[in-house]
Amino acid sequence: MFPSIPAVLERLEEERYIADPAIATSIYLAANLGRPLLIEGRAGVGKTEIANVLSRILDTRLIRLQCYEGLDVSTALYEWNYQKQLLWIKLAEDSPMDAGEKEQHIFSRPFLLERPLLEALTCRDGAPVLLIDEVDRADEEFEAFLLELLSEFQVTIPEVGTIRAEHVPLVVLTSNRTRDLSDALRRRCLYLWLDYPSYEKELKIVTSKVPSIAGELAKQICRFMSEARKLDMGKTPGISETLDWANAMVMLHHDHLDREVVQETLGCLVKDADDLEHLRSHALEELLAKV
Amino acid sequence: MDARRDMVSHCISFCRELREQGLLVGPNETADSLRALSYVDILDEGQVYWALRTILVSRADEIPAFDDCFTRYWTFRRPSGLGGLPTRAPRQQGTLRAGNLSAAPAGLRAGAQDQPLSVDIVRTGASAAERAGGRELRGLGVDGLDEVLKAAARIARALPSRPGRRLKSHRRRGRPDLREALHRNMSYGMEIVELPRRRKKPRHARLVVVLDVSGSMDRYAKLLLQVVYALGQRAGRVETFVFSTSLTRVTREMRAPTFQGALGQVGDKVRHWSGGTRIGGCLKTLIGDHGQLLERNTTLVLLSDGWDTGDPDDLAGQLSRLKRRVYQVVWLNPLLGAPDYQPLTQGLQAARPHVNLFASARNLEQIKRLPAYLKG
Repeated sequence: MFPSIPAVLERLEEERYIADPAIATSIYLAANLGRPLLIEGRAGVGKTEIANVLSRILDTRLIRLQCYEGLDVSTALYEWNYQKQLLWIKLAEDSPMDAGEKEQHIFSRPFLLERPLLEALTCRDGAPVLLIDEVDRADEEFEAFLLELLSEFQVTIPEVGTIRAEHVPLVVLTSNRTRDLSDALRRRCLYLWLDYPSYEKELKIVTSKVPSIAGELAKQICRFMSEARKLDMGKTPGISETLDWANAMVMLHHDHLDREVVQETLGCLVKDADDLEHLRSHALEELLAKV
Repeated sequence: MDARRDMVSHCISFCRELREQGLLVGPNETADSLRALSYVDILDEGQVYWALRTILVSRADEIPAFDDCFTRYWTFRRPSGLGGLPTRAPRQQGTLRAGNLSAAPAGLRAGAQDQPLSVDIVRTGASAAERAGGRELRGLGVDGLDEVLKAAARIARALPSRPGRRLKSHRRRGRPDLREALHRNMSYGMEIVELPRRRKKPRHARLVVVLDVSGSMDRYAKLLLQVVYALGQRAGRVETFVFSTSLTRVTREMRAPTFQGALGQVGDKVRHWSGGTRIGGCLKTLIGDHGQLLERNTTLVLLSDGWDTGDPDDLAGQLSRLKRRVYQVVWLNPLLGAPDYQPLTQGLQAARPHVNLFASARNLEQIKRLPAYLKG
């Protein structure tokens, strides 16, 4: 899939995802060893984006399963199309089929609704990228079910039989650590911890995602962000906040940061009333002095 | 061939060392790391480091131990290609801030091509004085634990539950369950005779327990640790933290099958036993780093005597932020039951308005009375 680690880095860069060797190595090995990749990190550091970019690079489908509490097999894997089954039964009332045949018919593939996980297994045109987003939000029962799927890449539906993956999907799981995932799941996966980016990395991200930004402004924004993250904030801004802010600056035609401009646009990066208050009353001057 | 065999056996002993350090490394992981070494350039330290790390590390807080082992096992003459190891800032011992959690990639030192490789290692082993806390802890007995477990089960039941997202079948109430209907009515020739229903299953409240282990709490340590352990065993979703000057998450350690085992593991992990107290700062860490745990149906239980050396306003501020995010804040104070004790410490005065229930936890009798208040 990928010839070498530098090649992964290059392809990621082409897709405007600024990666580092840690990310590239994990992707390279996940693809070559056929193991799922578990990505943990704070909100807004680009965990989900990795799966998006991967599907673009490999030119395959991205199948996404958003996890939430109470997510169960019928929303994640498959469900029978009951309306269709009932309709068919009504229509077939006069048919010469006996009850057994009818039952067999309504529990066959045409009556099966594929949910994301089954879709990923049955995808015919090449191995898709399967993103299992925020897996920590699903409960333990679901995690246990996932284990079986991720190790065998097959599922058993009682009425139909075992369905094996046509192409083994490239699986990316993300977690915000709201709950500690089980050791068993962790063992199945390669692990990647994403932290807030360094100043240099963030600058590269901003200039590649917001190409119309003035060079000096981009530097100021990134310096401001890396200083702001050192503050003890209730909600530390991530990369997505940086990008929102950079875009806002471009849209408002500003080419440098000053007190007034920052005050106006602070809502792009600070999303907690206490932080906003703290920044406005104390920390802003200091931050601006450092920028 | 010899060099190759050396490489394999070296990698295997590296994996074994990591396993001894408590990382989740089994035969599968060892096999994977050997396979990975055939995919990367083994003369390139950066590639080897990141490849082994992504395979052998499975949670962020294992990274420091891995780094430590890696520098002991793998020495490279000169970094090339992707560059050497990430530069590491010295770690503060025992603090669990996310900044140190990662302890790694601020960016590889790509420019360090011709400099000799040197990495500062901070040993994570505790000093003798700090270990003493752990040993002392192991000495705590299990007598009375059964009683505490029973009390904990009652506390768990008293916590409010609300409808969850999972469905459970019910005879009369809830939405029609089509799947079940089809199966059940098959024998009536598909005439819908019975209509089974499903409704939302009540979901247990999450409990976040934060235990003060500073010096002034030593006298009550045994009972309170038992309470915390028992809650972990008896209540469904419990997260446990201990704090004095810094905050440490010990949920996993407290799930150990025996009380003694849990104490041993917690003692090994926590490096700040019997120090001073900084409640405000620790609550801030809780909100900042573990904010996801604080949901609308979370009950936060703070076990502390309130002897705070920090700023009272800070404590009040953090508590009010907490209270806004969770269902209720319960402060259990072992000193509250003492006849000559008035909650006069400044910290406590500042805290009172932001606490839903302020109760005593001096002995088992008082712990047993808790469920009545929790029902609210």
